[in-house]
Amino acid sequence: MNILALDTCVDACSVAVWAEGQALASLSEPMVRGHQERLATMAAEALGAAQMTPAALDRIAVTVGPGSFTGLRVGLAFAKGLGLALGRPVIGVGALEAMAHGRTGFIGACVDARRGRVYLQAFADGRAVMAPDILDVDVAAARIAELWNGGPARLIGSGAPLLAQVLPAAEIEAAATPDPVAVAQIAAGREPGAAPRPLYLRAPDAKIPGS
Amino acid sequence: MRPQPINPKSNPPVQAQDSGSLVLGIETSCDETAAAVVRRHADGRVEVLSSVVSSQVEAHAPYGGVVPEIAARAHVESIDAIIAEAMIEAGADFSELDAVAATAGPGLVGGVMVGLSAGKAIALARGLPLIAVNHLEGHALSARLGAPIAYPFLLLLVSGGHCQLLEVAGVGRCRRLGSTIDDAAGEAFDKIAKTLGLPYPGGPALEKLAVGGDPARYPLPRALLGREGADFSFSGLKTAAARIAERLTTPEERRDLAAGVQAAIARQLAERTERAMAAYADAHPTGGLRFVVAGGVAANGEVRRVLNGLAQAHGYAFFAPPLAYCTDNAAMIALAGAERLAEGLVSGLDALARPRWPLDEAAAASSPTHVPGRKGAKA
Repeated sequence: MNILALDTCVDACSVAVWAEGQALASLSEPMVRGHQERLATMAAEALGAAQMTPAALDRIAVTVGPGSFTGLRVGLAFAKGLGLALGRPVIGVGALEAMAHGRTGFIGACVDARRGRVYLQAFADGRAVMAPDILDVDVAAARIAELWNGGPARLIGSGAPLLAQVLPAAEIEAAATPDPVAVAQIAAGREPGAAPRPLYLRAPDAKIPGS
Repeated sequence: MRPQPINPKSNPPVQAQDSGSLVLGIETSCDETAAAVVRRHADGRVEVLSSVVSSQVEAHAPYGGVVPEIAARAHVESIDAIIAEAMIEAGADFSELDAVAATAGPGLVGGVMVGLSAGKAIALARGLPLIAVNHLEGHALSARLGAPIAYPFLLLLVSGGHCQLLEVAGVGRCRRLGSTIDDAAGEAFDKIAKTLGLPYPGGPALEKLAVGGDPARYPLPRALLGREGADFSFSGLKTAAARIAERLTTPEERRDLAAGVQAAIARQLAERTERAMAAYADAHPTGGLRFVVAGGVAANGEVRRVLNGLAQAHGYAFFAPPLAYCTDNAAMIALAGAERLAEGLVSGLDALARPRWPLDEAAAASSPTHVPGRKGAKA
């Protein structure tokens, strides 16, 4: 199975070409904005490096959030365009599960959502122990304390330093972003279903006049 | 203001090696998700094979205007389904396309990125050229979707976001003769409609309310009357109308104010266009004068009527796009893409999404009458 995997959700623009269980190309550039300009050329570069034509792809995998609203929309729109023009399924993958993929022990995947909040999902030995959520930092800290099973722990992502004092023994890996190869691996194990939808976890900033 | 012919050789635009093309267009710069398939024949004839427009009006109505984040969310939910629908309706397969054209600005950039990203993906998947289209150029060419109008022509582009007079000599060859120094005409329609308590979008609602009204009942300001040049201003009208609206009580009074506002907007459009027509005619002494009105406000019956009369009086052939192509649509984007393709003007997969993008970039940047915003000229 040949998969093109994309991530534009969390402070990076990343693309991988994955075939029969193996990464043929994997590119990642740290990026807070500019995903729209870079993603298409990066996908072309990755396909070129892997010597694969778009028509040879079986699936498109893409992170759906949580993370940058603009970033996740660029990735999802691009993935949908590829899926449509190639007649191939698009598989949505959570950004936080992609960050935690392949790690053992207790993992708190945590992205700074700003304004005193974080996106959080926790995992124990590769299994999610909560759904992705947006929480105030102190509530997130309480969830981590409650879910931690007492073993080795790691807090990963840009929000990890905000939770560091909850688990003093935990290792902190603030620079973690979704690895596109992990995105491909997760997608390879999923059944194609309905078109993936964005995972914002936050309502748009808009007030109905007079309310 | 002394318009000179921009490129005398640009009319007609057809090149010898141009064998026609089939182009998919994508438009997501405001509150319509749209896709269309257009065939441009080698002789310049244009056929719209499909034009699908999914409006988000209902999603924005409670807010009294377009909310950018809500718009962007709606675009990404439906972009693939809308494109698929346009392809099916056209009976076209992706393998038959010659290019993909997507709006790259100006507009709400979160939405622009959705359509542009989807367009890039289709171009990459199928090895097709991508054409990043200026939304305003789409409007500028939209009348060519309904009739084979030759270049050059004088264009009044009048919508919720824009109000400009341009000399259009072909794709990438637009010259500005005048533009609004404050609000766009459609913005004035919408904002005044809001003060009259009309639902969003206000322009069409105001036109409906104005039927049978007395436009002369309330005196309204006549901005820039007799002033040199072909610029527009609508903010004074907006303020005056808001003051009058405050003290109205009966439905007849509201109807008459709506009629007055509509007439005032149409009158200013006509007065300023008349100046541009005179200057344009001086610059094109050999005749063949063509006037095109495009953009959402071109759907207004009173505006069309007044401008049509003006064109006749000054010896211009009058063109307005079919109503479906006045408001935002993707057929006009596909057409602009097809004309650009015919001239070899294609974009890279790294094309930028641009919130601001004047059609005549160089002129807009140096215009003495329009102080650009902090981030440069908007449009």
